[in-house]
Amino acid sequence: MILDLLYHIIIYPLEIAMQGVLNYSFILTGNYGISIIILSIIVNIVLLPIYYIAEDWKKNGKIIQDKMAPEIEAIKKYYKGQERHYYIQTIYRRYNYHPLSSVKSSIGFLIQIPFFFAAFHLLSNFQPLNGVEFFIIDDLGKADGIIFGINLLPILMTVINILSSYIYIKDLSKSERNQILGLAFLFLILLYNEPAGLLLYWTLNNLFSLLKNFTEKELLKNFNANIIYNYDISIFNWFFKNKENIDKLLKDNKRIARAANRRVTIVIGRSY
Amino acid sequence: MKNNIFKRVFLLILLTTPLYAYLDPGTGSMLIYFIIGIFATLIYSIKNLFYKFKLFILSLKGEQIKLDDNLDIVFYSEGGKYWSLFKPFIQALENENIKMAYYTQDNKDDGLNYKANNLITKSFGNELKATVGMNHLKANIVIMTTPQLDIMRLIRSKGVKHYSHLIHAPTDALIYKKFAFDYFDSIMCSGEHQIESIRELEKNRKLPEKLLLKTGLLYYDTMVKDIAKCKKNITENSKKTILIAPTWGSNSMLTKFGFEFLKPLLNGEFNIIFRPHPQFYISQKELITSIETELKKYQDIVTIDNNPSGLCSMNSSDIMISDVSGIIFDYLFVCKKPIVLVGSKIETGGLEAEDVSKEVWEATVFDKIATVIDENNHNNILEIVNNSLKNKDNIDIENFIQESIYNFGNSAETAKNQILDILNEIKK
Repeated sequence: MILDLLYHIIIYPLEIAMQGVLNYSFILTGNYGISIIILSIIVNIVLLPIYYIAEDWKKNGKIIQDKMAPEIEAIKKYYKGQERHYYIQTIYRRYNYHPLSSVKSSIGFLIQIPFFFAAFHLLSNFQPLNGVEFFIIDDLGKADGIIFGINLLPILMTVINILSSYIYIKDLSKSERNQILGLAFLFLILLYNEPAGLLLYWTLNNLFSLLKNFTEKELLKNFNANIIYNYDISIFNWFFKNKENIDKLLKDNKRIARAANRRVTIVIGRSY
Repeated sequence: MKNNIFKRVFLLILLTTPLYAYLDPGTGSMLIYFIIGIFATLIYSIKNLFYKFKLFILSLKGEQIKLDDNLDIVFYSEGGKYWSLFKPFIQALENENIKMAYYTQDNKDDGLNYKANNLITKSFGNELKATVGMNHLKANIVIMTTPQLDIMRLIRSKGVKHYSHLIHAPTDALIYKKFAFDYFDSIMCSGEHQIESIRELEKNRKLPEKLLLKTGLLYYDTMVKDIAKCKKNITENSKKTILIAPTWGSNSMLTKFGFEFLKPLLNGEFNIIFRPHPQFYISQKELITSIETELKKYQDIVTIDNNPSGLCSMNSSDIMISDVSGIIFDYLFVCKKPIVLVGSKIETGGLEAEDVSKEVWEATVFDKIATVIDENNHNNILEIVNNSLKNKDNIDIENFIQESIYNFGNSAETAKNQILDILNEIKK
């Protein structure tokens, strides 16, 4: 009941929009395989700014949290209960922070979830895909069965995802890696028999994700903190608000330095 | 359709686990962040509500106090022991055309009996009622000795235009608990070292600069007058008198070294006044009882002083042995007699001093104003006391007072002018 209500309010409008894109692409290209590729590209373009905004929010939240951390630690060392609570509240106040800010940081990310659901719902039941041939896929409406009856796309999707995860998240513990692998295989089983059209969309989405992460990582290699520092101070101000802290921040936190690099890369990509 | 719903629910479960990282790398960490955020916000908000609710419920108990309106200045006291600080201030203002109130937490506060035409006095009865009452007060200026305004339960009332903190010790602002002065509008400081410390705290915390007033320490006005009236509380004889005034707790000389190291002083050469901190009888009863039992054997030379005011003992003595606390400065400034300081280490954990690079002022002056003894030389107490008495003129006390305290013995007039200036500014 609640799930259905949520579906109708949030996911259904997206699904209609995605279906519109799919149908319009089909009118233009006459090919559902290409239409799915176009849909995937458009959804990724739409989500890209949201993804970066979300990342920014999260990073900014993290910068404040990192600044507050030693002060909060000192409070926790000496005070308990109500007194500790009030002191921590004062630190939050000084940094203009509320625990809810960390929730705000994640909203950008949450916006992406309905897109996943909408695509899943649309493409797992999209009748026009039935019997449509595309490239080496015989029928976009059925599981592909390309390798002697074994489905290739779910395997490809799984490989791409594992690669992508490993590139993006470097500092994984062994158990986290095992979890990612375990879940990748669970997903493989879950989607294994889904129509090839859905798997094509999903695989492409994850390929974009892999490319996005890979490109960023490669671009970062060409910029180091010093170059950026001298590059354009106004860009820095836009990112950091307070340039006095840049040196210290970059020195203290390699992750922030990386984020700064990427931010500048993005800005340069846009403005130059 | 059923199968579809099942898959959607399954996906939902997968998506709402940190392992969602699998779908789009990076988003997994974002989700953990989200869940922690929700959780932290919930706990934080529940705690906030709980503490507010607790204060409200507790304050309902007993009779409620009606506060007065249209007050120019409210003096808020945590209890009778601060009356010596507020009294000269109120006296200086009692002929001014302003409306004042003295609100105290303490039903036994002597200030409640003070009469002046422009003064109302009231007691809240306890701290909780006082806190709730003060949080809803209407007045132009509130002057108080309570630190941590707007940090703990005592918050800034919307009906008050200016909060001023009246410093009640000659010691550094850095030995207060965290954020002691951050949200006051002005601080009436007793010495330059306090101004330097507060400015450094403001700078480090990027807080706006407060009005820091060079006021002085008001209770010295009272002490200087009262000590002259004080009768000597021991039998007059030719012996020198030692005042032993230990604090309680971990900083106490008695906790650190016991009473044994002081025993050589009971050789009959001196009169001894033993005046432990009142909290000793509550927190370390066993230790103090055993020491007092021992001292009773020396009744002819030892006086145990439990009077509320230590002024007469200070006046009667020739030298004081104490630990790190404000009383050593009172003794030096008001009595101008030598001090033996037992232990000079100042613990700063959890205090304001942690947040600045500056050294606590007291620690920089102990060697100038006292003979400091520690675990290495505390066994030579007799020799140390004799030397201190002999060399008492080596300390330039007058000069030290000038450097450390504004308007010594005469600060009420300055305080009055400072607060009237603020009031005129508000009323403009």
